[in-house]
Amino acid sequence: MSEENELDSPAFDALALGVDPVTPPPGLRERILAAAAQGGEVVPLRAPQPRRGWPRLPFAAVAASVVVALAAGLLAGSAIGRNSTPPAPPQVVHFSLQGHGSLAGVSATVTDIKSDGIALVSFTGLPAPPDGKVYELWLITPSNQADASGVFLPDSNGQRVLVIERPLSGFKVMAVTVETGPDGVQSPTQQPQVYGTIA
Amino acid sequence: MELTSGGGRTDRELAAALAERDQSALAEVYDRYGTLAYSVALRILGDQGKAEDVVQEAFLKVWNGAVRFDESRGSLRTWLTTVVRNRSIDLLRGRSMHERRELALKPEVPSIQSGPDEQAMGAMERAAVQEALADLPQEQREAVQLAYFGGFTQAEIAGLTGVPLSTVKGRMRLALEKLGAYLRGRGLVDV
Repeated sequence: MSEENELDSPAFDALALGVDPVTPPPGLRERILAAAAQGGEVVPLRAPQPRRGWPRLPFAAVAASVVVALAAGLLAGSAIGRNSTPPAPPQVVHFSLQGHGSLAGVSATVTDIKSDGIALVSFTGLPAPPDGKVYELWLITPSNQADASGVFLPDSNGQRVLVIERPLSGFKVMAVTVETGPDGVQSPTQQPQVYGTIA
Repeated sequence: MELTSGGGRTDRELAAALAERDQSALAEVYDRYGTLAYSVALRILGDQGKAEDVVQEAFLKVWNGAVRFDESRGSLRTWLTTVVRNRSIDLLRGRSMHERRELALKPEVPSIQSGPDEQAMGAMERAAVQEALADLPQEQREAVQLAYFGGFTQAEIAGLTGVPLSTVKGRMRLALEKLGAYLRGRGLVDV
């Protein structure tokens, strides 16, 4: 009997049933069902790259406006919160990304499962990028540092679900650019065409 | 063995529902086999984070591939555990041979926590497999453990244990024959 045939035996498969049970973390069920609900086709993103600068002014202005808005929100929150107990932070937060310019028809919903340090990004309306190009996802800090967080292509329906396996805390904006494939680039070479404020 | 759980759908019905993108079926499959899948991944990898990733990938693979599920090739449970095991072994291959060997041969410890909804059938099957393994001569037991939990080829096992490849093949064949006969005799496992 060949090795392949032996390892194809039901007795070999049955060894799984002898493993002592360990209850999985409660958040795992939610993660799986959320990923399935958002299309079920999950593309794990590559490991984060070292932070690189994002020097271009227009996007820097976008990020700066986000910082200003956040600062205003914080001030307002501070004023409101002086005489009250702040609510516990939510474990699951949703926010959206919107396309602009030639990608105005693109949108994405983000489900940030803070308790698990993982986020699901579900894109719709993505056109196929030009030959040799890919979409690249970036996480931007308040100081406009851009972390390369993965490259992806849409399916034939213009959809894609991504999993970001890292906490979004410390980032203020999520953005997408079109970059050279197949591996993308270390720092963005163009203005983001899809972006949104991280909630 | 056609499984049901607490009056729920059979595995065959669940597989059909998954193929129709019924998300309640995915939840039911997770509730039935999530603990098994996670336990297998954790047993192989010894790392909770990686085990979670593997289980997520496996369930989504089943979700996306359910339309191609062929029951004649194995049960839904076997498909899921095979996906979990194969992916876990993929991740394991980046580790040293020594670490893989240690992980594969680590003794089973008494269950620390059993799933609250664990079925009696699962407990009986587990006991049967553990008894069957315990009844094997040590060298046969180690051979199947290194292959299943460590992902070692028979040639690698020969190198690890310092015996000829033909001896490893003989041990594997005998071990799987005995396991199969034992489990069939108990009527508890689809073998």
